[in-house]
Amino acid sequence: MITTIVIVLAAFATVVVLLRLARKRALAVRWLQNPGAHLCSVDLEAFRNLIDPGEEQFLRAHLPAAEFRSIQRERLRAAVVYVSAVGQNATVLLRLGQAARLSPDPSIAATGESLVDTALRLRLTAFRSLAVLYLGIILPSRHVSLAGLAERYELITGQVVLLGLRYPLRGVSAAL
Amino acid sequence: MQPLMLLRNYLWLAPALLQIGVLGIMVRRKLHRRFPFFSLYNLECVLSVAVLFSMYVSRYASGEIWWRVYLLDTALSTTLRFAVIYEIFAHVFDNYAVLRRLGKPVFRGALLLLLVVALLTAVQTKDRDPYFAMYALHVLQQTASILQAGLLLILFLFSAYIGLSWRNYAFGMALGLGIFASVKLAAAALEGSFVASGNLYINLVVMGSFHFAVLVWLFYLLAPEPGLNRAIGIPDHNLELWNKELQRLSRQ
Repeated sequence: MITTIVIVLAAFATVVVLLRLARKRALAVRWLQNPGAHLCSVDLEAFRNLIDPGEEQFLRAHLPAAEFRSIQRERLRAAVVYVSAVGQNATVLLRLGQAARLSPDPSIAATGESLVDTALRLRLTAFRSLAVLYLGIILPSRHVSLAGLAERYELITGQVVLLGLRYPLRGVSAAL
Repeated sequence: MQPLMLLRNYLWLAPALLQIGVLGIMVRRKLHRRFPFFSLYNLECVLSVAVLFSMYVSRYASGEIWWRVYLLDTALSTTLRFAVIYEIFAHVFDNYAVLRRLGKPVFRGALLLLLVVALLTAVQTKDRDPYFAMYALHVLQQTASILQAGLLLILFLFSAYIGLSWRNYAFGMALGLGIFASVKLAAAALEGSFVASGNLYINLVVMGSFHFAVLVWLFYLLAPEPGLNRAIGIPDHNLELWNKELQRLSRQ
């Protein structure tokens, strides 16, 4: 009987989730009307400093183990905030790229396609990085490597500028 | 005729008529080439309704023959629904060069995970039905529905998390099928444990959910595709913004 109740509740929850996602999709079109408002500002230099392996090595060498673990956890928690912001921006830019690649203008469509590729790579990298960071918070003695995330973010900023040159994006690149 | 019977006949026939419309739109927009299994599934549904309803109202077809045809239809439509889900997976992932290689492993991984869940729930299911054939049918329907609803839910959640946008028709197909599979799952679980098989009210809910699914397919097939031009609108002389972007580029 418990199995049946669980199955019925799970089925009901699935219907609710699907309907909510359909509603969210309809609202995503409104997102595109002002994409800049949904972007979070990311201080790339501060982020680079947080995930710098040299910095981590220095702290590991000069601090007592317990203190290092505590500080490393704090640093990784801060990095989680940055990576989440990068992931959120990647999603906004992905949506923008997806809409741009449907454009009848071939140059806008091509830039949109390129933006989609980079945004998707960035989104997946952010996803993997979050997993690495959470693992690092649980096991702070473990070395954390987030190679490529900052570089990808820089690359995408350039692509948004290129798209903005062909198509005014209401301050998207300025918000990045 | 009783109102409930009238409603049942409406829910039996109306989706098939609407599915003819779905097929017509798909052929006109050449979508049947991109989604052959979805088109085949709709065709199978239309034909099965034509055959089963004719047999139902005819005096010449026995209950046993009707039952055999019904079982054949159930097996065929369940298999086709799996094919449609795979087709939707492939369509969503193939749209993105970066994800193209991820499509098959994600589908297989999700299928394997759900199969374990479905088998565990099948083992836990205690059926009240005295006939083994009915019990087996419930468990199989429940297993298939867990797999179908689960696969679609995983695809939706993955896309929502990553931020993938779907073309209207693919989204509609998955949404309609997901809702139908979920309602069918709840019905299969309830029929196995709480209510007798063939319960009219449960049947009406399942048929109603299929009707709703077909309406969802039609809606999304007819709805205009959201695009950049429609979403943002092209300003004619937005020199200030252009200037800002140029200044930003020159600073890089």
